[in-house]
Amino acid sequence: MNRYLEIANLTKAYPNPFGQDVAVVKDFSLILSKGEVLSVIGHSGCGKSTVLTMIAGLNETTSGSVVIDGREVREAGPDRAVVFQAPCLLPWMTSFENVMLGVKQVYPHGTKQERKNICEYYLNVVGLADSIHKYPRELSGGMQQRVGIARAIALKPRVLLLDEPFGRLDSLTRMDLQDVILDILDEQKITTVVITHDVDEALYMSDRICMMTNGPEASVGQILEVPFDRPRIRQDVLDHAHYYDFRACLIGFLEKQEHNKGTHVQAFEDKQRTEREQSFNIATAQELVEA
Amino acid sequence: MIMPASTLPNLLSRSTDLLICYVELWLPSVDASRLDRVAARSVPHQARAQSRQTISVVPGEGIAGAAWKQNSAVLLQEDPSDLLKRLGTEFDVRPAAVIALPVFRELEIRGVMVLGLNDDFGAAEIWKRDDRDELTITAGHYSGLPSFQFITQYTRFPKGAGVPGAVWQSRRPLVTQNLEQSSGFIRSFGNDPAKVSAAIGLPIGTSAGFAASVLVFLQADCFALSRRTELLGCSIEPATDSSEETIHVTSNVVVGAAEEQSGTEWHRDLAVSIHQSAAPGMIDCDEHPEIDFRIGWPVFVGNELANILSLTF
Repeated sequence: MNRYLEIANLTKAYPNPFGQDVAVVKDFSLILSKGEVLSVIGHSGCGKSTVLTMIAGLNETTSGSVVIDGREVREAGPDRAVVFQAPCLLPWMTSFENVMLGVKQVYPHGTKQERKNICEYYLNVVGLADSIHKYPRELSGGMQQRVGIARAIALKPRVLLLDEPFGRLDSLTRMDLQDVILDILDEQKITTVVITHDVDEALYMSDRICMMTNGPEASVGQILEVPFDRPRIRQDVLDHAHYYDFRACLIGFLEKQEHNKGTHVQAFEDKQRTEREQSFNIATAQELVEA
Repeated sequence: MIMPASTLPNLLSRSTDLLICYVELWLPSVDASRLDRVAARSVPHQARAQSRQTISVVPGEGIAGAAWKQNSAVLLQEDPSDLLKRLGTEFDVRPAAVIALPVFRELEIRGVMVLGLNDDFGAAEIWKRDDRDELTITAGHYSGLPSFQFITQYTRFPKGAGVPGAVWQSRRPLVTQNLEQSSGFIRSFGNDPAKVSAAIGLPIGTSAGFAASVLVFLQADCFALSRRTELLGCSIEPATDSSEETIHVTSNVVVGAAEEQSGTEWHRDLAVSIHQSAAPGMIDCDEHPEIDFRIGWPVFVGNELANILSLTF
């Protein structure tokens, strides 16, 4: 396999009130091949979005590395486009202008016509040919998210990062946009990481599903290979003989994480308390020796 | 070696309800050019018409030689009874699968344990590193666990995750009980006839600082791996001017039998025997009314004996 996106030992820690580092994500490692779609599922608050923002370069890592096509990336760049749950469009700009904003950065040497063509092409791909010159306030939530997707894809990113992109949408719009993105990914083979709570979405969109353990010190718990053929046809996926086995497996994982969350947090806090007591004892002993 | 009839495990699993039905021990010859079969036992106990024939294999020959050559556990499921017959096994056993577990001390072969597996509830899995640095199942024998078997072929474990990943990373054996309660154990989602209750993970060989492969036995609640499965921790205190070398043994985990005090005489005897030979061992328990024999499967970290997996039959 080609190792296109290599995430190695990604760790994010924050200091607690006692000055100890608390790793919300610890040693998160994954390897994706080019064009692969990977979903990350996990219990709410486990650190999924932290992982995604670290890959995007929007969140500084405490340790670990992100390598794309053999080159380490350390800060945000247009090679990693992000679509968040909220489309975050600039309200004073039309759909076209919102997309053009990024295109200007990525194609600085293109002619004005070339850049215009790119914007129109991608707005057309996401089904907004008729709304190119509308402002966000004139668009529904689903349409705004389509603009967000067009804005991301128009950058021709090497890695597409989707952070619960359909979380605010109704079921029908959600399914519609899943198909929009899958069509784009099938055509352009963009390596993609999707953060989602929705196991059906994960199964429908992904080649692999990463199940994250609970935080603190959340990491990759297990990985599920999704064997459905591409291009995906929703009904074929739902009719797959083992669709509900995979689904049950993922739901079982989430339920177990939910069930054990309190125990996990308590164990972590106990460990940190013990570390504090040990360091206090050592410090006290040193003071006594010095005295 | 004769076992002392000291502390008796009083709640041993019945020998007819075990996943393992046959055990062979292969040890390297003096010049380490071949493996010799030095012992074989059936479970439950059958009269041993000990074969006088010495059977030896070179690397790559037979299942024991294959395990040696491949630096990995090897599982054979196609007509294993026939294989045992060809190897000259004198017992009437009909295993559904045969698995060979090599023991290495650093890169040196120290023996191979060949186990015949019944077609009863339980599983044996061999996991190996793939090109994504994840563990992928490469062979498995499953009984009564169709959902579990199905999902396993699509499951991957990174270093440190699940029983296979934890063993891979630490190079130490791991026994996990109450798997149903474990947050990380998700392969038991289906309505399988059997429920997996315990997992026993063993590191096999060494590659680049990690286990070359990982063997996982999964024990269903109704069928045990052996009558008593025990993981012993060993630490060696070197000899000094005033004292001899001492082996400290702790019984970490027991599955399939009532708790027995750790550090009992047989624990130490087994550990001393294995430490001295630096090889897996099989010990008859002729004086013990309930026990036929024990096997000890050592795990070395570097040159040091770190753990022994003890199986009582």
